[in-house]
Amino acid sequence: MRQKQDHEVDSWLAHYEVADPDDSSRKALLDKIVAAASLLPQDRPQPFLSRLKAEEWVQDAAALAAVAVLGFWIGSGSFGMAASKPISVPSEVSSISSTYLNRIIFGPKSWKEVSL
Amino acid sequence: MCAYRELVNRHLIKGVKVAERMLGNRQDAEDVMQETCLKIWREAPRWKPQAKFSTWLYRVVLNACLDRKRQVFPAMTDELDEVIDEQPMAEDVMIEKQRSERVKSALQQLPDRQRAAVVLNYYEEMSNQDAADSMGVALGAYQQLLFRAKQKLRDYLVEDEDEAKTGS
Repeated sequence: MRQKQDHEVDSWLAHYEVADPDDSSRKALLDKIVAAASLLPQDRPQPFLSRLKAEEWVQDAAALAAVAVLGFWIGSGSFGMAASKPISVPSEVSSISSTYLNRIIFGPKSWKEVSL
Repeated sequence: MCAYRELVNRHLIKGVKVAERMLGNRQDAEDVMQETCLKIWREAPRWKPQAKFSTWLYRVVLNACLDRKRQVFPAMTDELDEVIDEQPMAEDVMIEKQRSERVKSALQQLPDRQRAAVVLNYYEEMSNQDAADSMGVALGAYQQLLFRAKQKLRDYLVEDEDEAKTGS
């Protein structure tokens, strides 16, 4: 039944004729198209890396990866341990550095202190 | 440019005929074909040969037709420029012309995507897969469009004809 109905529709569709453009109008259209195209620049293809960078999914994946790493670092306690550990500077180092700072700011007290 | 000219020449008639069946008039079809070819020229360096060129061409033509239909143009009737042919027409020629106009009118009443499905399937003789690729839809979706289009055409054409014959 459906095939018969399809056949009926197809036989109707066969009645609709669209004529080919004649040679002169076909040539005129072709010349018009080519003339218009010759005035247009072509889009340059982007290099692969810039195309990749422009892809949203790459940016989303990179952001997700960064969040995942940060989350893992915080969750595993490494961040807490690093943050809670105070930075201690040895006293010798702090006295040497303050001596140097004094020399730079106030200048040497004597020729002996001038050492490169 | 010679290669481009050859490419356009090869596909020009098909493209114009598809556009004319979609839009219902030759002038609009030629304008659409021009837009299509210029788009192809601009985007040619980026085209990757993952599908047949004709698939890409049909897709651009169909999209241009759909865009054109969405635009509002002042009514331009071809009848204004048509020269009235005063020669008597043979009856069978007249009947054929009437049937052609009826089918054209029925096609224009279809939703755009259903019309595209029929044009590609029947007039361009494309396989369902190629037609689906040209329309940018899944195969199942294309088959649904084609089925519904044919149902509507049957309502417009076959059943109206039967009613006319029975006088109901």
